[in-house]
Amino acid sequence: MNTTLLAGTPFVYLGAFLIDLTGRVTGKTALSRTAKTVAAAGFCLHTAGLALRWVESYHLGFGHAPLSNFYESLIFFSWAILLAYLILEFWKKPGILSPFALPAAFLLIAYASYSPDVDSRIRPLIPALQSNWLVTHVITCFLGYGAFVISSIFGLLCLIKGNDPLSTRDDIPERDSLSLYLYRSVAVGYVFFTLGIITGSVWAHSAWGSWWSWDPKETWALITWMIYTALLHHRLGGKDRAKGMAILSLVGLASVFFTYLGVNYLPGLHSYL
Amino acid sequence: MSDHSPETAAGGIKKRTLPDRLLSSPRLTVGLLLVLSVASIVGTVFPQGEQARHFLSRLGPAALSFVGFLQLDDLFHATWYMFLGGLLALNLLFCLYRRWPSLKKTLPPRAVFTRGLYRFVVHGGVLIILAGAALSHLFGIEAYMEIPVGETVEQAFLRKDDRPLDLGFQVRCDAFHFERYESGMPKEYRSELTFFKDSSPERNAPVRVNQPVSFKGITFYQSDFRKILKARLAVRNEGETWEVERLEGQAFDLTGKGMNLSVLVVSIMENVMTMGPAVKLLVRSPEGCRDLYVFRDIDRFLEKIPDLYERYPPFDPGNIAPWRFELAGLEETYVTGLMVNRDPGAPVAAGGAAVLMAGMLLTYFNRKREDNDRRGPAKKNRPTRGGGP
Repeated sequence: MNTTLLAGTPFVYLGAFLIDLTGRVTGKTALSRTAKTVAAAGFCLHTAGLALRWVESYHLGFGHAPLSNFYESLIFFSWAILLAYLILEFWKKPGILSPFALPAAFLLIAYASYSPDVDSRIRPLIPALQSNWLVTHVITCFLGYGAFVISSIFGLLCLIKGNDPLSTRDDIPERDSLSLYLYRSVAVGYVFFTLGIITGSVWAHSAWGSWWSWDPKETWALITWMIYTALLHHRLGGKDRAKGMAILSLVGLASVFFTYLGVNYLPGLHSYL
Repeated sequence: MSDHSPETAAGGIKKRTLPDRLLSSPRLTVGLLLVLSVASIVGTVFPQGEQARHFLSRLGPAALSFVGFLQLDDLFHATWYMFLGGLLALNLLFCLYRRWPSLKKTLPPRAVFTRGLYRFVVHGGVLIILAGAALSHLFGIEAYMEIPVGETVEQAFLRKDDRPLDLGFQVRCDAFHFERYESGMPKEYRSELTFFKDSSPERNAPVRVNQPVSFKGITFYQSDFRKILKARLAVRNEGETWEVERLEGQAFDLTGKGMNLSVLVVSIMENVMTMGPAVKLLVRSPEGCRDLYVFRDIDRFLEKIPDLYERYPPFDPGNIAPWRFELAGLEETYVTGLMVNRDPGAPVAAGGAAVLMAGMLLTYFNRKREDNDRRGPAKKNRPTRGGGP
């Protein structure tokens, strides 16, 4: 049942994306607002799916939060992107995130639901995952990832807009405001991601006896953290700060995806596959 | 929103030396972070530690000396990597110290205090974590031990060089449980341990994955397990019978009529030459050392080769008269694998992490109020291209 709900969600996101795109092409801004509402409805469906999955796992006799395997992590990653997108779009209204955030969330949840390589069954927890730290660690990391994805959208737009005051890209907000959004979304993501690394480290200490063992996932999390630390400090000095931050936000995104997926191809303890 | 670089000329503060200016530059921070990132990427791609051995054996002498020079096979503990980390720590210290006056110039007094304090807390947290890492590295112990069920062990082996480590107490594994879910997936690994000090039991505790147990400052973690065989031997000597259960590598002494023996179980085999279970013993008697193979189903063997004992005397269970050895059976049992650690840096790092998080949260909760303080009159003077939130 939960997988049915979750498998329906990507279509809602796709629909919202197409509505927004139509609005942008035809210049009807009302459609973009409709798209946001549709996306919010999709998010409710998504949340209900996750909640139902949690409940169903209890009915199967080994209840645990739906954050324990590759399928569930993809679903939650998508959820975190939508959460960050909705908060920003309904609160600060930059009005520019839909064409990027919606397809990103769509791709992740659609891949989870429809790829034959991703097993969507609810499984009991293996001993290594039976820890109270699982929930906090995964939630904080992915909330961080979600905010980082949003920040990279501002970074990309910042680069497209360029530094030319006579830029013809009137459809993109001013560079200063993009740069501020970028900074703020990184700042929020950074708090969550730092907490994610700390909780992971505490967990590793009780599971493996070592709070830091240079496992590839750990190392890549540190690399990602250092890139975003560099981004936050780049703001304090340097010539074209907006451009530097924009580039670092894209490098950071690449690092996020490598931390999430790439390390599965390196030897280590964190593998999903 | 942005800070202005702390430049000295305008403020009329006395001139600072070059190393001072370099070390307190945020650009050095950004540069070091990026260099450390690239170095760490190399460390995740290049095989490390044990995995490196096989890889290194295929390299030529020139490549090998390059790898050796940069310590690429143990990059995260390489001198230069730690040096860069140390430099980052130094940079952090200098920034905290030097940028304080510049904050005074750019922020209203209340913001100077709060922002300066929070920044101090955040970066102080990072420094404490690094100090914890140094403590763990210098004074931590990482070792490993295996205990067969029913046995008592008082030594672990260091992970880095396999040297033995005397614990100063004894650990017995009373039982090991391996449970599965209905689907066959592993559900629980659990070792029931008893800790002894001077041969008297002091503590009983189960160790599970994610649930370590500490005794006298040393912590035991469930790491892995394996199955081994235990041999049940019956040894007879003129009407008397001794029942002995032993694992591979264990020994026992026999005192009886005729002569005394000292027996070592060399190996335990589930199926030898399709003739079923057998053990290989090394028996020392006053007459010297002899190998003895004891088969459980020796009769089956004799049916095939009636003159077995003449042809292969070590297969004769009565070869060391008046003693006679029989293998009653083999039993499967577990050996539990435990990580044995002491980490004086962990609480320090945990404290640093708490300080770091507290500093971050304080910074964010106060940023808005502080932004409002700064924006007031200053914002109008700043060249903007309009827009903005």
